[in-house]
Amino acid sequence: MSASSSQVACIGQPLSWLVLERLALDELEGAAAAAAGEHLVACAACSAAMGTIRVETRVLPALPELPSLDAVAPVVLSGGRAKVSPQSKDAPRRWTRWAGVGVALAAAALLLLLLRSGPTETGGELSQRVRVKGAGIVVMTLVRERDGAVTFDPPDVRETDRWKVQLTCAPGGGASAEIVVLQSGQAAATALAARPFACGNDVVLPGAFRITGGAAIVCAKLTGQDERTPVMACAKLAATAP
Amino acid sequence: MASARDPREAYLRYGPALVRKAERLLRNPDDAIDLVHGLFVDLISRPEINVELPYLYRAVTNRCLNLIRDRRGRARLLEREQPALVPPSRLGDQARVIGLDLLAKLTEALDEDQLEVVVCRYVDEMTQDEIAEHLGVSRKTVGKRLARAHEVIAELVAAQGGAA
Repeated sequence: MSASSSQVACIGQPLSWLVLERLALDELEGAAAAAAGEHLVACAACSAAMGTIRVETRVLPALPELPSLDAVAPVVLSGGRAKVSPQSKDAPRRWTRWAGVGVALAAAALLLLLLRSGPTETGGELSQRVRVKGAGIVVMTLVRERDGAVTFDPPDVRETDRWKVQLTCAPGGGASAEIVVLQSGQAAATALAARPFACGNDVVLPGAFRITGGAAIVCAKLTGQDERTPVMACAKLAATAP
Repeated sequence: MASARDPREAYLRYGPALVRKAERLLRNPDDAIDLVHGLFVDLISRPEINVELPYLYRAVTNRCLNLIRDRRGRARLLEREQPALVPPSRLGDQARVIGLDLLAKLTEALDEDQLEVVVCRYVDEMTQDEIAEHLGVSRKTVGKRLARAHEVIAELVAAQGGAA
């Protein structure tokens, strides 16, 4: 904590990072763009800063999509061993509108089965501990932040809660994880998009999410090495009043 | 002039810029990505929100400050801090190096408006005129908020010197 002079000081007033970013995105116009351009020509510090923006590449995790329930439901109903076909990004989505009512009914039935009976019709139990090829035993931990308090594997959910997911498995392994949320009357929603992770102790998946609409089942769809069939680790959450 | 119209498009277009900004504040790339991703996860369910870069810049500032203000989050951030990832200031003799530790202390001594001005000035390296336009306040107001921040920083520096 100190005042300091820098070896890379600007020749005058530096172009702010916002101006540099907007310039790089071609969002500055007219006099502002011209003035920024002139400054960059004369100022090595700002020119270097602009250079870092232009050369830097960032791979950001995908934003959640709403997958079709028929892709996810069989996996949960069969205890996590059914086959799931990957949903093509190019697939037309029009049918989902036609099938909206059916999806909602199917989701309601699925939730009733899971929330009331625990074990599914096919004998599968919801479990947060599953075996995944290439990763061994993987344990999913839900992390809830409520009013500043963090709780691991809580039993219930409120709309104001913020959620993250941790996975634990033996170092050296790895798999891919996608987090989906199942709720009554709604299509299964991807809370955290699929992405690979390296095993370790309490590996925190990037991203956080909220769950609105009450009781839910949160599942990690785990796909092991060279596998096309995901394994599901799931946890039930009851609704609580705010 | 191009711009993004919906949150998904904005995420692709502005996400990297916002992660760079968050990283300058949080000093950790993973936390920065996490924060920006979380922002857009919220935004995709609120398509009415303005998704232009200046608005998103402010949203990232506020989320970062909330994270730093939260004691539990702050402890984790300080543990994971990677100061080397943050580019040196171009402000020269005007520079105050606002590290995570100082920022955490400032969150307890300054209000949100004052903190936002500090971030605009010393992290985003905006001029006072630019800050005024960005925040929609007068330049005089920006000056007052900065002056208050300088007082607090001086007190914190003095206190640290006294303790040393």
